[in-house]
Amino acid sequence: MARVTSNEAAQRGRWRRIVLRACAGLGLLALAVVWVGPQALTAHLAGVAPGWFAAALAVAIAANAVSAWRWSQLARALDLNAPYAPLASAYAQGIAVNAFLPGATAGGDALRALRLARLGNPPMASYIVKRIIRIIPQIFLISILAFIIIQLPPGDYLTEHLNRLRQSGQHLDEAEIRRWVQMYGLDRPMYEQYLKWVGNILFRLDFGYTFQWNKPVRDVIASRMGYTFAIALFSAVFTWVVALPIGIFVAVKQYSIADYFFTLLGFIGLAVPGFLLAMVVMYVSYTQFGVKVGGLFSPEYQIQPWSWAKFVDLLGHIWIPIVILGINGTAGLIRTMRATMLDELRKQYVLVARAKGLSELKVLLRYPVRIAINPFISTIGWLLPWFFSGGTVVEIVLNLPTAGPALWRALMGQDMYLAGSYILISGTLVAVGSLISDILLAMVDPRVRFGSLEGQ
Amino acid sequence: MLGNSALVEIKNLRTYFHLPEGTVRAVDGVDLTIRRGRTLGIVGESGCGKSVTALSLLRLVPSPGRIEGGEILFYRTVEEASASSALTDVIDLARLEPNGREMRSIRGNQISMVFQEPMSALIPVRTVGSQITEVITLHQKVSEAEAREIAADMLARVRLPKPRQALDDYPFQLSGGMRQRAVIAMALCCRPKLLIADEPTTALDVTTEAQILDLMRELQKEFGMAIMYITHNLGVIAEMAETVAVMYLGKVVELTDVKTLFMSPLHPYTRALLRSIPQLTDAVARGTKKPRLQTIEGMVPDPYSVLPGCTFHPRCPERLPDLCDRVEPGVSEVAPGHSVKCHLYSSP
Amino acid sequence: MSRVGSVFGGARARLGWRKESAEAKEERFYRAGQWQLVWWRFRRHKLAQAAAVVLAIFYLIAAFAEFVSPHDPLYRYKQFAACPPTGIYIRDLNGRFRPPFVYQVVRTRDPETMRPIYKANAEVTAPIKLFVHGSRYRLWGLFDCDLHLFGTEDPETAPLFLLGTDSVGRDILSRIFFGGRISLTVGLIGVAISFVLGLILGGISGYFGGAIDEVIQRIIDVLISLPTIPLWMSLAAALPQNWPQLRIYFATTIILSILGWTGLARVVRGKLLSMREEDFVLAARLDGESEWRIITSYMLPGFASYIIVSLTGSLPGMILGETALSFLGIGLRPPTISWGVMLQDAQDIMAVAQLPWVLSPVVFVVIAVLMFNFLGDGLRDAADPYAM
Ligand SMILES: Nc1ncnc2c1ncn2[C@@H]1O[C@H](COP(=O)(O)OP(=O)(O)O)[C@@H](O)[C@H]1O
Ligand code: SF4
Ligand SMILES: [Mg+2]
Repeated sequence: MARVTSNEAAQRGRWRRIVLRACAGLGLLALAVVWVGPQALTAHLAGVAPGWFAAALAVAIAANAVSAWRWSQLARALDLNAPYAPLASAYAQGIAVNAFLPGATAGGDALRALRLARLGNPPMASYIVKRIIRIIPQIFLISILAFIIIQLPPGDYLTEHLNRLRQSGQHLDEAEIRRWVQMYGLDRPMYEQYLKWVGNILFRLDFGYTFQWNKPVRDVIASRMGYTFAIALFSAVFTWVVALPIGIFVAVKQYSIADYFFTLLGFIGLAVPGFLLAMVVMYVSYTQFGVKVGGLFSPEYQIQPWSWAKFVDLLGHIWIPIVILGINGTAGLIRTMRATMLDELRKQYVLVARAKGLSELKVLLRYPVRIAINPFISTIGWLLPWFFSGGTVVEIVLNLPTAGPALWRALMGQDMYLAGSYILISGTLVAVGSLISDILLAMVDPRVRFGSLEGQ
Repeated sequence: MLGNSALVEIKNLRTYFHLPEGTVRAVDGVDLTIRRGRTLGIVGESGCGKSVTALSLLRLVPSPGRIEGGEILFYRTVEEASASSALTDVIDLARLEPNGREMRSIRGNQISMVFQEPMSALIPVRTVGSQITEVITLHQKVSEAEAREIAADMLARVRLPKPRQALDDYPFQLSGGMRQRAVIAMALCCRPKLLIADEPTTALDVTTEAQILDLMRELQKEFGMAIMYITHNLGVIAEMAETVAVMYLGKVVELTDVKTLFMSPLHPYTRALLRSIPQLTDAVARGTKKPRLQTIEGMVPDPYSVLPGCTFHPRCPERLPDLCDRVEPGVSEVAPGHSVKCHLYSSP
Repeated sequence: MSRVGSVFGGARARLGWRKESAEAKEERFYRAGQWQLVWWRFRRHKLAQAAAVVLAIFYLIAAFAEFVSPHDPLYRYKQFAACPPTGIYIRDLNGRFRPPFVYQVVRTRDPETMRPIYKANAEVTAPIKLFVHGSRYRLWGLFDCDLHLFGTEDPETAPLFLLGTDSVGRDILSRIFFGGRISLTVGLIGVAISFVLGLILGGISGYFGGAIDEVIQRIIDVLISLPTIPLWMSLAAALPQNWPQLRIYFATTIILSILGWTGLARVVRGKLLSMREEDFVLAARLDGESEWRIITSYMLPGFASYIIVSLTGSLPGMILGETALSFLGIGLRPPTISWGVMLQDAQDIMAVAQLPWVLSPVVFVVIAVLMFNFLGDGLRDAADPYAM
C-alpha cells in the first residue's frame, strides 16, 4: 500500500518536473526570440529551405548519438557503469552547456563527469566535491598574487600614464580621469582596491584598462586567450598522440635501437626550449624554403571574417606552434611512460593476463597501459602551466595573435593590468585544468577515489 | 581408462636462459606425465626450475628464456565428435608459436594457471568481475551478461561471500585469501582440463592455506580436472599430490607416488629433503643428541655452471667416488611407477 | 653512600661523554661510507661524468673570460661589422702546410644591396698564436693584463672571429664567453636563494605542521601551478628601468628563485615528516638533545643527497628563464652581456637570415642545459638508486 503511494508520488513528481522544464524551456526560447527580434528571426527563417533544415537536424542528431555512443563505450572501457540511454541525455546536456556557457568545453565535461559519477560510484561524487572545494582558496591566492603584480611597479600606474600622456601633449579630460579613479578605487586603501578589482572581474567581467592599447583588458585578451588555449590544448593532444604509442613501444622493446634513439631524442627535446627551437625553425624555413613562418594567418586572411578558406589557412599555420610547443612535453612524457610501463610490465598480473590467452596487444592495452595511462591524465594538470609558460615566449617569437605577445607588449610599457589579468586567467585555467585532470584520474583509477574516502 | 590416460606428456624438456653472464639451464631434460583427473606434485628447493617448467608448458617463458628442445604432448579432447566417443588428438605445445592463435586458445581455456602472489595477480584498477569475465568471453561464445552469470556462479563455488557484489569490487577491497579464491575462480571458469598451481598458498597464512587446499581438492573432484601442484613445502605435497616429482637443478631426480615418497624415499636428495622438515617426533626426541633439524649440506651451485656427472654430487653424502663426479646417472625404474636418477640404483 | 653514588655518577657521565664522542666518530665514518657509495654510483654514470667535465670547462671559461676571449666583448670593430666566422687555414696558396693561420680580411660592398662583403686577402697571412698581447683588461678587477689565450697579432687588419661579429662589429665568441659569466651564474645564485628559502619554509612546514604547514602547502600549490615564464616576465618588468646593472642582475636572480624553492620545500617537508617518527630521532630526543641539534645533525644529513639532486634539477630551468627574459628585453639589458641579451639580435628573422651566426648562443644554452640534465640524472641515480 505504502509502496504504491510512494510510487504514485514519484510519478506525480516526475510529471511536475517535466512540465516545469517544458515551461522553463519555452520561456528561455521566448526570451531568445525577444532578444533577437521576432522580425529578424522570421526573415531569417523564411530563407531556410525546409528540406535542408530537416536534413541538417537529422545529421546533427545522428552525430550526437554516435558521439554519445562512443563516449559510453569509452566509459565502459574504463569499467564505469555507463548504460547508453542516460549517457546520451548527459551528452546532449553537456553539448548544450558547452554552447551556452563560457569556458570552452570545461562546463560540459564537468557536467558529464558529474552525471557519470551519479550513475555509478558514490565515492566519485564526494571526491569531486572535495576537489572543487579545494580549488577556491587556490584561485583566491592566485588573485592576490595577480593583484600584487599589478601594484608592483613603483608609483601609481594611472598617474604615471597620465604623466606620459601629458608629456606627449595630449588633451586629458578631467571627468574621464575621475571616472577611472573611481572605477578602480584608486583613491581608496589597498584592500578596497583589491575588492573592487575582484568585484569588477566577478560581476562585470571587467579586468581593467590597458593604456597600451587604449582598450579594456577584456577586449584585448579575450580572443587572444582563446587562441592561446586552443594551441595549448592541441599541443597537449599532439603530445599524447605521439608520446603514448612511442612510450609503449620503447618500453616493450627495451634496449633496442629504437629505445636508445628515442631516449636520446627525449633528452634533446627536454633540453631545447621551445622558443629557441622556434627561432631555428624560422631561420631554416626562411633560408631553405623561403617561407616566412609566423603568425596564424597569411596576410590576406588577417582581417577577413571567418570562412572555410580562412580556416584552412589557419590549419596551415597553427601546426608549427603546436608541434614546437608539444616537443618538450612529448619528450618528458615518453620518459615517464617508458619508466611506468617498465615497472608495470614486471608485475605479475601481466603474466596472469597472458596465461588467460589474451593476445599480446590486448594484454598490453588492458593491463600495463591501463596503469601507465595515469601519468597521461595527470599531465593535463601540468601540461597547461607548461604550455602557458614556454608558450608565451614561443608565441612572441612566432608573432602569433595570442595572449603571450599581448602580455609582452603590455609589460614593455609597464602596463600591469593586462599582466595581472594574464596571470589571473592563466592561473585559473591551470587550476581548473588540474581539477579536471584529478577528476579524470579518479574516474580511471579507483584507488584514487576510494583513497579519498578512506582519508589517507 | 580415460580417467587414467595421459593428459600431458613432457619429454626431455630443456628450457634455457641465455644471459650475458652465461646460460642458465633452468629446465634441463625433464620427463613428466600428467594424467587426467589426477594430481602431480612437483617439489624442490626454490630456483630448481619448477616455475619455469610450468611456464614452458603454457609457453610463457619470459624473454631471455627459450625452449631448447624436447616435447610437450597435450592430448586434447575433440568435443565436436559424437559425444559417445570423445576423440583425442595430440599436439606438441613445444612446437607451437608461443603467442599464436592455437596456443592462446589453449591458455586459460584448457590449461590454466594460478600464480604465487594473489596480491598482484589482479590489476588494481579494474573490477574483479571484468577481469574474470574477460577470460570467459575470450574462450566461450557467450554474451557479456552470460559471462557475468558464469563468473558469479564460479565465485560462489570458490565460496566467496557475496559473489555478485564481489564482481563489482576492486581487488584492493578483498583480503588476500579472498583474492586467491577469486584468482582460482578465474582460472577455473573455462573448466580447464589441467590446472597448474604454482605455490598458490605460499603467501597466505596457515589457516587460509588449509581452506584453499581443501577447496582445490573439492573442485578437482567436481570438475574432474588434472592438477599440477608446485610447491617447496613437503607438507602441502603430502596433502595434495598423488604422484610426486622431486626436482633438483632443472632435473627430475625422483618420481613416485606420494606414499612411497614419504615411506621409502630412495634418492639421496629426497632423503635429505625429508630430513629437513620438522616433525612431531623431533619435538619428542628433544634432549637426545640427535640434531632436531637437518639442513642439506653445502650450497646450491651457481646456476651458470655445468656440473659434470650427477648435479647433486657436491652435496651428496653418499656419492660414489670416481663415478658420480664424472658420469651422469640415468633414470632407473626401481619399481613400477617409481624411478630414480642416481647411480646407487642403476642396474649394471 | 650518596658520595659514592655521586662519584660513580660523575664517572659514568664522563664515560658517557667519551662514549658519545666515539659514537659520533663512528657515525661520521658511516656517513663517509654513504657518500662514498654515492660517489661510486656516480662514477658508473659515464654520461653524467662527461657532463660534469663539460660544465667545469664552461665555468672555467666564464671565470677567466677576459683571458680566454680573443677580443674585448664591447669593442666594436667598425671595419668588420657583420663579419662571418673567420676561416682558419693550415695550407697556404703555395700548397705548403703551416701552423694554423688566417688571412687578412678586406671589406668591399655589394654594389646593389650595399651590404658589406668580406674577402680574404691571400697576400697577407697572420698566424694564430697562443698567449698573444691584445686589449688591456683587469682580471677580476685585480690584475692588470693584456694577455689572451689565443688570437692574432693585429686584430685590426687580420682578425680572428671564430663565430663572426654582430651587426656593430663585436666578436661573438668573446661575448659568449662573457655572457656565460652571467647566464651560468644567474642559475647558481638563484639556486642558492631557493635553497635557503626552501630549507627554511620546508623546515617550518614539516617541523611545526598544523595551520602553518597548511598555509605554506597551499601557497606552494598555487606557485607550482602558475605558468613560470609569464610570472617571471611580469615581475621582471616591474623592476625600475633606472637601476644599475648589478642590482638588476641580483633582482633577476631573486625573481628566478621565487618559484624554485617550492620543490625543495616539498622534499624537505616530506622528509622531516617521515623522519620525525624514526627511531634514531626519538632516541636523540630522549637523550635530551636540543631540537636544533636534532635537525642539523641528525635529520639534515639524512637528506642532503635529495637536496643536491633537487637543486641540480632546478638549474636548467633558471638558465633558460634568464635567457628567455633577457631575450625578450625585460630581464637584463645591454650593455650587460648574457646569452639571452645576445639573442635579442636574433629577434628579427630577416637579420638572422643575413647573419645566421648570431644564433650561436643557442648552441651554448642548449649544451649547458643538456649537460645539467645529464648531471642531474646521474646525481639522482647516484643519490637514490630507487627513485624514478
Ligand atoms: N626471467 C628469468 N631470467 C633469468 N633467469 C631466470 C628467469 N626466470 C627463472 N630464471 C632462472 O631459472 C631458474 C629456475 O627458476 P624457477 O623455475 O623460477 O625456480 P622455482 O623452482 O623456485 O620456481 C633459476 O635459477 C632462475 O635463476
Ligand atoms: S648419483 Fe651419486 S652423487 Fe648423485 S645422488 Fe646418486 S649417489 Fe649422490
Ligand atoms: Mg617459483
